[in-house]
Amino acid sequence: MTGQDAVAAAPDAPAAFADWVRPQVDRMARLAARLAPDADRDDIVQEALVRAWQKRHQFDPTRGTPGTWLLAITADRARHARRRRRPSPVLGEIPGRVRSADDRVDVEFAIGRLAPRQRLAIDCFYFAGLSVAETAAVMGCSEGTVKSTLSDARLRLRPMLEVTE
Amino acid sequence: MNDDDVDRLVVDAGERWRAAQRPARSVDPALFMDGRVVADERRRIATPLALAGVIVAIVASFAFGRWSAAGPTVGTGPVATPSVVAPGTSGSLGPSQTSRSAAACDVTRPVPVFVPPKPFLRTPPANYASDWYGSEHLWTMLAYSGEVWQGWVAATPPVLPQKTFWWSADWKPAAEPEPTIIVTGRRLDGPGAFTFGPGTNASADFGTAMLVGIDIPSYGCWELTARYRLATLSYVVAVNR
Repeated sequence: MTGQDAVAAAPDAPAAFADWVRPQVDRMARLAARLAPDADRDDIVQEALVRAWQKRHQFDPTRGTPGTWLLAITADRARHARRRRRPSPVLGEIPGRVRSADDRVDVEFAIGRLAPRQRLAIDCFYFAGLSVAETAAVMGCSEGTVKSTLSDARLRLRPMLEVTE
Repeated sequence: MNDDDVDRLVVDAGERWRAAQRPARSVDPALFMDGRVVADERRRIATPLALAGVIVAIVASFAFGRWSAAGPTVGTGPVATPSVVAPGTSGSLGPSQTSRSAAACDVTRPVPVFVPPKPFLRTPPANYASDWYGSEHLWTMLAYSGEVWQGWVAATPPVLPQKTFWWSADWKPAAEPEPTIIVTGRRLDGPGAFTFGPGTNASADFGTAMLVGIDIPSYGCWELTARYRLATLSYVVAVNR
């Protein structure tokens, strides 16, 4: 291991590890909120941080940044949290899920109709504010695939967002 | 509408959504303490005499069964080895400094009583004089009048070792023999904190439970909080001399 690697590796001391993860926590929380909206995002982040601590020796700085690594773990924990959620009965139409003049509702409504991988790419890149590289880490694919998935998603969103009068 | 227009709409929606998000919870370094760190910290901060005291305490706790001095006991099954300790907190307060505190402690009683789903026992075995407390995602057993613990082990620093038992309908012992449950303690009437975890499994007449061994570092009124998966459960216990 080089000296540079030693510096970049995940710290072994709890306080240093907390300092190391702290810059990523807001983005981890946003990602958790997007991927598991019905779960407690802070609990997901905490699970992810504990998991990251347990696996800190597996972090390889030559393969990615702390951010990409932590976000991938967060996405995994969010998926677990989503699976644990019991499906709740849907009575009638969900309020706010109808088209309106408010483009916020329109955009969210349209995103909800995308294919799962397209929705994931949109959630990571546009809403959680991740970079293309970080989105690729979360999706487990190449950066090129992220770009093409985002392009496909925008193509599919276009007719849904167009206003017809 | 072209691709740039769509991009702008989604960018705007994303920015508005992010602006509406509250800040994330702050990071607590206590989350990141495990057995190896404990060993490192002990090597760093403990004197050889203190280490000898800890060893004596552990041996004594097993020899005299003090792990279960006030709580339920298990006939078989592995005993939890505490693998997380907040360094610097466990030796800071001696028993004599805090002996008055526990008397005024508003301990948690099992109200409302929780009735677990099948196949768990609807009520604890009668010999425990306790009820279930919590929810199906995380529950524990509390004495009818609340938990009052004692049974100090003479060690340096002095500790009260205790077993804590937790149940969850989400926990499958075969799939997760060492559950990722974490128990934290916060002293309500003075300074003090600890964190222990993960747990192990233990079976007895109350069924199979998640077991987390904890070391309470001082007398007083303590709030214990267990976190397992997305569930959190807290209760207050009086730790007497």
